[in-house]
Amino acid sequence: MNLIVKLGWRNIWRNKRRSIITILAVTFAVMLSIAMRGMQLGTYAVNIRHVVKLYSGYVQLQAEGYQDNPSLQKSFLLTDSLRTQIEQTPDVTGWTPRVAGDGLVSFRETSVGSRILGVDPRREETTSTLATKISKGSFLTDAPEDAIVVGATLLDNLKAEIGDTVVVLAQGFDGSLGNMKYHIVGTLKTGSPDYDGGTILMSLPAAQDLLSLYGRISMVAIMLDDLDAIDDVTESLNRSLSGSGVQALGWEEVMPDFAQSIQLDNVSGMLMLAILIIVVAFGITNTVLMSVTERFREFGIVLAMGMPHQKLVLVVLLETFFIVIIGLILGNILAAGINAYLVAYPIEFGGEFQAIYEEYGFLPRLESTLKPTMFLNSSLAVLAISLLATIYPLTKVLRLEPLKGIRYT
Amino acid sequence: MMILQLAWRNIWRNTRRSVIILISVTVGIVATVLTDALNRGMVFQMLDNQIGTYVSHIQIHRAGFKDNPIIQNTVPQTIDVDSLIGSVAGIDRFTKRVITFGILSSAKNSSGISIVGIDPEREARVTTIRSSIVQGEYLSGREREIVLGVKLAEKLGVGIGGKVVAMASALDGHIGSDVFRVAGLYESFSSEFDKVFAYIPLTDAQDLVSIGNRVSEYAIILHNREELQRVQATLESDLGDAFEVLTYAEILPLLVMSVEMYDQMMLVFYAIIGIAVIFGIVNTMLMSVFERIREFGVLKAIGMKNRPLFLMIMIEAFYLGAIGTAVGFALSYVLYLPLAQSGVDLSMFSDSLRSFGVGTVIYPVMTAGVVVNALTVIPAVTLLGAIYPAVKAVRLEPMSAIRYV
Repeated sequence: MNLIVKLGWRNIWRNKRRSIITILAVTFAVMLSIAMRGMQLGTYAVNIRHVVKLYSGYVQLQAEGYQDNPSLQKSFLLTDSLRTQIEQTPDVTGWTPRVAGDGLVSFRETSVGSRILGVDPRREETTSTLATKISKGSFLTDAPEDAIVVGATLLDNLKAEIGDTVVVLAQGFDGSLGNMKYHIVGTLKTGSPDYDGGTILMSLPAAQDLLSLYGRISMVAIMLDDLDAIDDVTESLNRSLSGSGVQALGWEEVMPDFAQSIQLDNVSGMLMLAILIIVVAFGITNTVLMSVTERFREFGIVLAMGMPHQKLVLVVLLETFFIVIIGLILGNILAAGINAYLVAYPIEFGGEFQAIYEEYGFLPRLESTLKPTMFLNSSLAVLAISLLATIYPLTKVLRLEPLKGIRYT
Repeated sequence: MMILQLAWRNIWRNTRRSVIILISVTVGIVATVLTDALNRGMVFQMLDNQIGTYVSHIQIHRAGFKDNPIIQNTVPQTIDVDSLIGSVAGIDRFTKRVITFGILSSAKNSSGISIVGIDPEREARVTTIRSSIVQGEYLSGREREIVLGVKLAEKLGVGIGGKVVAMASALDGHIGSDVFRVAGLYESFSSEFDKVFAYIPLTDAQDLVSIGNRVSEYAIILHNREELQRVQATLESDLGDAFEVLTYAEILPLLVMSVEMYDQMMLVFYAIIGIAVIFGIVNTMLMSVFERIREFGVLKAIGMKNRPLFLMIMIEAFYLGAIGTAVGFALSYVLYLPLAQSGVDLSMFSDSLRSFGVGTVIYPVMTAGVVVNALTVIPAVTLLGAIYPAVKAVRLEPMSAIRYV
């Protein structure tokens, strides 16, 4: 066994140049795979955390049916037992109740349709990042109930300023139309055209008043520390909530379009890498085939001397294995460097790219990750495809007849 | 001439090796061409869908409407715009609209929307709204009918024949409101669009916001999209400063930028596949050069100059790249034709695609750009990859090369 390993290792260095080029090809493939996967996965994670923390929460409690048809009818009461159930669920780091409705905001002669969100200012500050996205003025406080925060673009569209009074017209829980006056204390700028162009925030009691909800709420946003805990928390909440008409949904169910955008990008990225690895694999097939046919006479002699075919095949397999392993190690080191750099210094897009990313709901930023499983998976993929690529040359060796090999020119 | 022939015969001296390198080039080409065509198809579809569902080729408003689309900004009546549009060459058809923000309520729920007042017959010729009706009927011309997106109707809990109240602030600032009967439900390519746009007859919209017979915008379709700039310039000079004349590229700047972004992303993709192919070419050519060292020694000894030798190896590599590209391109075209017919069904990502406004079936498009990229990048790359092996061959000393084992 020892001999075979030694043979395999020495064989690689008999044609240094060829081996080095092959190693470089593998290095390139591994480095690119890991760097690109890192950018994709790292950027997804940052985006998910950003979107989830901004508003939706990792897990959301909603009345059953609210997701498909978000109306005021699908609201529920925040009972004490519900509070304790949320608080007693492990991994939950924060939660906040909200009311969501639609209304028409009017200032002077301009009216704009908008989403009305009733929030608990204190709780938002500790759970979501809404309070940190105030671009002008201040966030809501507990005190004056007629204070609202308006999306920055919405404020411009209304041609209003901070301190102005607007009228909000909305249809309530009972179907009646209500309108009330509010004054603008701040503007919200999240980067998402959806929020900035069509959202107003007011305190929870004010929203319940306007929409005649009398203590009912539309949702509870729940924050966790860890993306991986989502399934556990959702399951455990759904178990304790069963039969109450309220259910827990993970962010992927709350925002299916966002989740699928990530999936779509993920699949297209993997497809691209698969193509890259396959092209490199053909290069490997060719190199191994050449190095094998070059040595047919040598192989013929070894076989004639009584070496079993299987051992010879093993030697050639080991050669490829060594080449790929060296390439994997180099590729992993380089990729780790690239990924570590991007983790430390994410690339921020400006100009056109920023606008496009924000339009589609993504942060205009390229990040990466150093997750070990990603390094492992990419390396295994390259290793597996490389070994597959040697099958054809190996069958040539396996079928080699000693005399034909000796006479091969 | 002899060099061409030499190079051609050389690559077939080791058929198996050449075939493997050809396969790798072919795979690279097929993959890049199909990915490129699919991406372009997707971006074009996004643009075409937007143009077809609502935007049209050119819109005319009062100057300033784009930045501040309020009901006060109606198209000035100082010029007879209808007959002016009719007189400009290149314009195929047009429609007039009233647009206003508003709120739509049913007995159960309400939603902030954009109310669009349209001339049903004209609108149906300019956009796809009539053909996207999935339930009920399109506006028949009767009063107080409304057409909504399916999603919006679900949210409001109304069906065909249901009653909804539309409210919007009128010209003088008071809130106008009217009852409408749901005539039909539509589903466009974009879920965002479906949630927001509701259509009512033009005159009802004019009454709702008390603007008499004025309108907010003209939407124009040209005979030929290529004439966009010319028609825009003509309209601008005829209408003057009180109007704004916008092309779809100005109305959808982000989408037009996305098209450019996809182009750049595809260049990166080509570069990556190109580099992967280079490694294969370098290795193959290098091996074939080393196999022939004695032969090259002899050639040099009998007087072959360096230049033709270098050229010969470059041409060998070029043949490999060119044949691989030709086969790859032919193969991708054969795969592309049925895909362009049937489209690629990506319904597993339907929510995402509908939020982008693409639709779930993507039809790849092979543009001149795809063809040029495919036919130039890989042959160029194979030439690059052959430089190092060719230099090696040229540097050989004839005598030591002949004795090389």
